[in-house]
Amino acid sequence: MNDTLTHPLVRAYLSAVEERGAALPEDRRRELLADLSEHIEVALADAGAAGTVGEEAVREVLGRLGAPGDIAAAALAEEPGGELPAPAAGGRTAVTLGLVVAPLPLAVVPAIGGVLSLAATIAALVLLWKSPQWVRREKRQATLLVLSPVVTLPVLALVCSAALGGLSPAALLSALPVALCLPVAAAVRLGRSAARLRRASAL
Amino acid sequence: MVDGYASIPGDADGRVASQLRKGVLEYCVLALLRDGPRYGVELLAELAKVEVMATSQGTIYPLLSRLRRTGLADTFLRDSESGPPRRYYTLTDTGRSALEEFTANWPSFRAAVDHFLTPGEST
Repeated sequence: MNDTLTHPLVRAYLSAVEERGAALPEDRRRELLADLSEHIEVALADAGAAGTVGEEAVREVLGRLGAPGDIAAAALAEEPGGELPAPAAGGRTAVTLGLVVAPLPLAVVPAIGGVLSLAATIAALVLLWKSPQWVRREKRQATLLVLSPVVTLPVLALVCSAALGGLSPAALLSALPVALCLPVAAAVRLGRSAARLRRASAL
Repeated sequence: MVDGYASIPGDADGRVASQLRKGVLEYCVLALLRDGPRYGVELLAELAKVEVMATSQGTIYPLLSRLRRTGLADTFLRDSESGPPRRYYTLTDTGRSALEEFTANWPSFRAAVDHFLTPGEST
């Protein structure tokens, strides 16, 4: 073992690949980084630079490996449906995230709550699936979380009514904030992923 | 700052070459393994010797990973006299028959493209 992989240039390079490959499945990203680390070590050893890691040699090896963005793009292209995510406008992202959270609070609006809630859900899912900034895996997860209140709300309402002694508006209202947790979690995850993508593209 | 590692020549030749490469690169990799195992750095250096196949070396690793996952290639570690052990890539039986199939199809494919590209031949 030598200190090749702790060389500042190598560390910066590998973390740039990691950042650009943020949308890759965890195991795939780890494998890619392991392959590249191995390549760097071996290429330097082949060049006879194992003992003293000269900056020139490191630059040469990294230069031949290519731009971190190109490598991450190639890895994403190997994923089924792994089109390269592209950052989207912040405003549109904010609207999408708002709609992801909105259906449940909207449901308590008197009389038209159900319609509003349904409309917000459909709008949220359309914007989510049309956006280029999330990969299919993220979209599937978010969809499940957005639709989760359909299951969690009745279950929680039952639990609350048991606790409060009978099904009541109060029981339903106390179930709402708890059921809201999963859609909020979806919005937080999507927001983080979008921000990471914007940061990576600005590198 | 990391983008200082600009794409090497071979990427500069643009979209056409990169589109063409996409379809055939994996068979070129399989062909390089036909006569025996090679380790990653060695394999990529062989590819880079032929200019139209030269691409940023790092972009080949996702391809190698897929070949391994889909059972066309396999890997093993072998100690080396200098530095870390080398990971060798080797052709599996499935990989060998995929290569044979491609090899059998390629001449007629090449002839068909030539047929359309050669003036006066496509009429």
